[in-house]
Amino acid sequence: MSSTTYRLTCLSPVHIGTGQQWSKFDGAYHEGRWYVVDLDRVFALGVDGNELAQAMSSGAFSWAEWLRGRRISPEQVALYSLPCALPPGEVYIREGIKDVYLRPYIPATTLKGAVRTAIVWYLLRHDEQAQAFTRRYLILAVYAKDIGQIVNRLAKGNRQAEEDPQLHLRAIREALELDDAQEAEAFLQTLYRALGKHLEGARRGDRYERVRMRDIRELGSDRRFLALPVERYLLGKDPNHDLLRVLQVGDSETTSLEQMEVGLVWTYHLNQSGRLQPKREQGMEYKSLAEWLKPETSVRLSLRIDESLLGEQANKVLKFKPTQQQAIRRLPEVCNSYARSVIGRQKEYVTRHHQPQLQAFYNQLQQRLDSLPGGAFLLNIGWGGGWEAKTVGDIVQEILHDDDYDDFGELRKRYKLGENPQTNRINPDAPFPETRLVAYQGAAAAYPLGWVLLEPEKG
Amino acid sequence: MPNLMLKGKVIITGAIEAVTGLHIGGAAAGLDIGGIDNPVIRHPVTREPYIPGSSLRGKMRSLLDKHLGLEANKLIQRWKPAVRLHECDDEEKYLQCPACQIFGVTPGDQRRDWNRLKPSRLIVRDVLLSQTHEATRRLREAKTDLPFTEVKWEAAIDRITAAAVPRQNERVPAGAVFSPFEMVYNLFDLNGTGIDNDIRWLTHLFKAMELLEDDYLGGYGSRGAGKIAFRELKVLFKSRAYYEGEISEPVVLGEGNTLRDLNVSQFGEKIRQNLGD
Repeated sequence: MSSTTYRLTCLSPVHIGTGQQWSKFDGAYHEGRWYVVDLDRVFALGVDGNELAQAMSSGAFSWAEWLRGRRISPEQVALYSLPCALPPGEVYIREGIKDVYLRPYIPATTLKGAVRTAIVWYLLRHDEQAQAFTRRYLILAVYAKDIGQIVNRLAKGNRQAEEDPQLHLRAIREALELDDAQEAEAFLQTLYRALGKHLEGARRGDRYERVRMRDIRELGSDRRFLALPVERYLLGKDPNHDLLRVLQVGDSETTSLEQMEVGLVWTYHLNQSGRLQPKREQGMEYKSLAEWLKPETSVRLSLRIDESLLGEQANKVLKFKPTQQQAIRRLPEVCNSYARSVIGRQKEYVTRHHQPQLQAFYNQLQQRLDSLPGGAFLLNIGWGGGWEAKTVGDIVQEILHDDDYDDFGELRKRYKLGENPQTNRINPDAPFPETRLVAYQGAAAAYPLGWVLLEPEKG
Repeated sequence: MPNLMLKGKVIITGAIEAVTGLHIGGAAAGLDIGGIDNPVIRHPVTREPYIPGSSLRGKMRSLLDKHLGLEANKLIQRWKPAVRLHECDDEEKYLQCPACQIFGVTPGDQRRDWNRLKPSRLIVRDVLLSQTHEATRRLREAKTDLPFTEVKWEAAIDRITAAAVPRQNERVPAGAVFSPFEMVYNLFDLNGTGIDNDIRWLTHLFKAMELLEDDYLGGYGSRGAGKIAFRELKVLFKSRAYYEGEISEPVVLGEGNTLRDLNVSQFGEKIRQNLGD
């Protein structure tokens, strides 16, 4: 087991959420701070529970007013308080993660998720076969309903015919208008592999390998799990055989509440002249507030590689390929490759669309990346990094690029990528992703969210 | 006729500190309103979380198997996912195998001659949440989501659409202390072969504890949970003479707040000096 202690430093605000959002029913803003109210402390002051419940049942209730009316200072009843960029009003505040003693920390799940994305990206970037699989799988997912309907028509209600690989091949050829028999066969193989079945077994009549019509129709039907077959292709067929088992990430040490504040995050979009601007529509400002770790906050954590899972014994079962093993062993390099790609694209976008603050940040980040000491790496973690920092989207865009068909456009439609929440429509002419979340420092746009630096500690 | 003589017991006691959140899974809440997806195991009477001895023992064995490079040769579950572990399948290998000697071998379906009288040396007891430690008082006073535990929300993000799948996971918070833990290591003279091997293998038990500190206990260990530390350790030796009332106090083999403080390499000599044979 080789273990390395890292120092993680926030380079921009980092918000790791709990799923909880605070409103005026949960706390009060007072003189530049947000106070989360602790009901136990309220009752300890002798407050009548029935009276409070009645007051809270009114939609107009707010703790700030209720406390003011009873001359109770928020400090007296606060579970905790944080500096807050502005009075929240009706805006929800996303709670940031803390342990039960109210000490913020970075959960290992957050870090490991970001590392996993980087590894998937790296393996996919360097594996043409995996790219071919991903392209075919995504096309099959986009057109799965059509293929299912054709299977239905060709089988004419005959259950056995519905599960016949030869019929699936015909349906794929027809739905995707494929003239090339070899390419059609490759799509068929991809279909079976994406569904976790063996085509050869199905052809031999093995009933466990049969693909049913329902399986075809449901291929990629849930946008929350679209990438799963790609991850299985690249990392392992199931959690027991998954490459990331090898990497053990520890929760970080905790830090003090002093390192946290409630900051303003504004959604930026392109205005008519192509500038990236704060989004305002129909009198509404697309602002949110989040409890985030301040830039320069620093915590320690450990990363371990379980060498026993890369050894000869384990390899008989797990069968990790040399490229997979390398991706784990060269983790800093892998993460930096991904970070370089994300930073490059983000910088290009904010430069093209005239957003000087973000451009300056990405310039600095790029310079830092170019001069990192050995073993150090950058990651984007937590909420707000955007589609590009959380996905292998750039590779997907590339491999679905075709002069004849806009397969990526079809993918966007199928999975509602870049859908306008007001109109539920996708503008195929707008760049994707169009919006960016921008963290404010005081009254000025300053940062993208979520960038951290990890440096190995000496000794 | 095989025979077995107990020559003494080494008793290891102390506390287990959850350095990170600890998730040892219990029965899912099922249809309970407000029930959690992945609950921790709780004591059936007190409803407080605890560490089952089986979890502790199984993990130590697994880590020792890996440390010694023992082949996972026995398939104990054929259906997916297949489960394999190490277990010696003949006398010759068994006699040289600390893992099988310390942790035992299962009789299996086919009881062959070699499989008779293969006593495991180690007993690991369940470890309850400390009733006296300051950490438990703090935990009692903390604003936990459920009694003594936190519910940690996580989200899996799809790597193409970026759609999130939230999930919840119950953990005993970092800093919780379970105590007293107790492990009992029996020293046997099997068929008159003496106890030299048993004394020698005792060091492997401490090795397994050390390996566990650098691994994880329970679930979600590769993503943060389950780092533990053994604390307030005390190692006693109770010889036959102690059990027969010839001496009134067990021999203290070592004491310390961490495993590294124990000086395990001296234990063998101290045991030999106090066997009372």
